[in-house]
Amino acid sequence: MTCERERNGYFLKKYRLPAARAEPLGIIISRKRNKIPKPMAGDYITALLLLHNQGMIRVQKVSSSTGGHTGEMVRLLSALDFRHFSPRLYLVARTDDMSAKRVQQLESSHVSTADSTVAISRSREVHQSWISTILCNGPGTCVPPCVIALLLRTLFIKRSTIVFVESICRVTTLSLTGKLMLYILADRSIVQWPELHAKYPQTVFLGRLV
Amino acid sequence: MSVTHKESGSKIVFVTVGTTQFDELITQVLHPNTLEHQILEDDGYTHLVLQIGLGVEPPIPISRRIQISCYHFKENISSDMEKASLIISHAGAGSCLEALSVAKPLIVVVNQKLMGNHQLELAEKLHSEGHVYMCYPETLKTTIVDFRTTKLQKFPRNNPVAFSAYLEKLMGFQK
Repeated sequence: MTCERERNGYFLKKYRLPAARAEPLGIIISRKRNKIPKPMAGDYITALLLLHNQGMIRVQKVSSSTGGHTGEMVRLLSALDFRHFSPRLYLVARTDDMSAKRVQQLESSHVSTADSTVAISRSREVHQSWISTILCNGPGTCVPPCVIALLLRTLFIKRSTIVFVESICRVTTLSLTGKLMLYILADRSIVQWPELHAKYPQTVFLGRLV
Repeated sequence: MSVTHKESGSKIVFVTVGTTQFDELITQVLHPNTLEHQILEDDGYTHLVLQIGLGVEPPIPISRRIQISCYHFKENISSDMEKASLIISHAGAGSCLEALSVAKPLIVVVNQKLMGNHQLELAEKLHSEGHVYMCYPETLKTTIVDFRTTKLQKFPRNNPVAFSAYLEKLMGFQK
């Protein structure tokens, strides 16, 4: 039974069949494992949202602007229905207070249900078993949580969907993280320029999102 | 391109470097050649506001016709952007997109000292599509002059709804 599931899991990832969805642990041992459960009213799919910043940069490291990835993530989430993606866990670098503040601003500006909970974590590790969607857009700091998520998936502990959104800065070239995500780690990789999509046809292009 | 004038008739140039340090840009803007002969000779800029990020506070030259102020950071610079008639920004995506979203004339200045300069891709793309003027600190003066004579293309709105629709469908929420 588990071998079949492993093949199914691999098959889904390799051939990009639609709807990689999260399954609760119980489905592994139930006969319904091939049926994709539809969320019912009141179901929540939890989301983990990763924000990547280098914290306040030193003078020498002007190559990494702190505004960038958090700003893009906030814009990305601006139209998301937070009732469907709750609770939300944001991963922020330890030294990055600016990002934490922007997240708080984003959260307070959203009209979401009183039940939704939000957490901001400074740790890069993902252990929470309830996470079903991982959304990341950043540099190498997003890789460890995705690797752990993949590990959990391979060990049949938790099936989560990893969606990577490449920065708007990337017009003709994919970042190293982007390539890693596209070919290995992510279920879906989204780019924001048609030229880049043409160069990497396996990516998803939805127009400019941020 | 919209040009906002305050009630007192002031016309503001807003310079931003985001969360970086870009002293070369600030120095060029405050250079007497730029300040007095280019910026002032235009249709009467009255204020120059500099957001200098992590940069060193520059010596502010005294000018009779233009009021110069500077600060390091603000929680939200969108109000400064909205009041400006011209924005001169570093090539960071956030600053560029914010300036474009308030539909202000925008000059994007690329910092050549950045390693790997990923900002260049976006700046060049925006420039080639006519949404901004792209230049380097050394060519800022001539760009400000050229900028007056050509029109900029309106930048289309972003579409975060496309993303949320996609994610919802992926996770099984769409009907």
